[in-house]
Amino acid sequence: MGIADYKIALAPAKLITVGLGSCIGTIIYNEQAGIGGLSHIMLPDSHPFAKKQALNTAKFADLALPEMVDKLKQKAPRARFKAKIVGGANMFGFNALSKTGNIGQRNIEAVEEMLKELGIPLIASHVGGNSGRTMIVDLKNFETMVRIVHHDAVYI
Amino acid sequence: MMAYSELELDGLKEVINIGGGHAATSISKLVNQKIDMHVPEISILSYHEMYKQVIADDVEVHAVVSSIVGDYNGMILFVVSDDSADKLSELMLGTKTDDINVKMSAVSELTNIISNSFLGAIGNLLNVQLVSALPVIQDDYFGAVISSIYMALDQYDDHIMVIRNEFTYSEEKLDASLFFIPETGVLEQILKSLGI
Repeated sequence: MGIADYKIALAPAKLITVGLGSCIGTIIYNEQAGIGGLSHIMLPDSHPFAKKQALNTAKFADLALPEMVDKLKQKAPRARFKAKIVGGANMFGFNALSKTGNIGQRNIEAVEEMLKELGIPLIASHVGGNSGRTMIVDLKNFETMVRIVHHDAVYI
Repeated sequence: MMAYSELELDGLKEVINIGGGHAATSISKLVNQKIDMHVPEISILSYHEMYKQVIADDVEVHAVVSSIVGDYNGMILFVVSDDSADKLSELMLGTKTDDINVKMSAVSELTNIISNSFLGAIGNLLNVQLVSALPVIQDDYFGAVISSIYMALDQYDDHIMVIRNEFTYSEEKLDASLFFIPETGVLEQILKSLGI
């Protein structure tokens, strides 16, 4: 699945999102139901863009996560969910250049905050640094593989 | 993303064409071989379309980024495949090398020259001062690189303007692309200087 989007699937499927730079991939999962949703957000907060018509909700941490969790709950009403997050890099050390600071770091904080609000425990994360990441989640067991160019794959 | 008229897009294309032409000439001089440039591509694409039409998001690339400093701000991104990095460093050094550091520093130096000749030509045309800061090189996924640059420049639209020059060497595609990513408002200023 691509940037500024989310997708829900059932085991034994795998969910993948590639090329996470300052963006964040959030997998929200329930073991018993074998259901998971993977979101790829670009920005922490939709409020500065509220006046624009036709906002893509999947692009913003504050809108994408509650919406995806709603959909997960429709499919698995009694399930308790857990989360893992990947991404939020500061590629090329860009934070010095942007007027708005380190967007990767702000994305990490926004996603963590939103998960807390939604009451979903964050059990593992692979975030920050300066490198892009690809994540592949196996919905059979919630195993999440993180790939970084020139590095061995990491499982979280 | 603002809408541009045909005339405005043609004007921008002409500016980029002149910049890219100078960049191709400066590489040719450096490696003492004829390097050509395609007619530049300027298109407004969604991320999805860009990854489909230009370079896929999961492709591992050598990405060299330089900030533009001067009257306009923004970034220049030079993206080369591994094969092209081999080819270009061989052309520059006059010999093949397996040393990844030597290879990367050759590509980085090349980008420095390309960026500055690109910006110098545009600056002359528009009567503004433009230079590029020292490049930073990183091997990474194209998707992570390009989306993070747009984010870092506070360009948050779903659609982005992709401005790209592609280079060829003796009729062979070089798999080397130069992306010009100006800050918000710069393209409007360029159009204004052109009197469009």
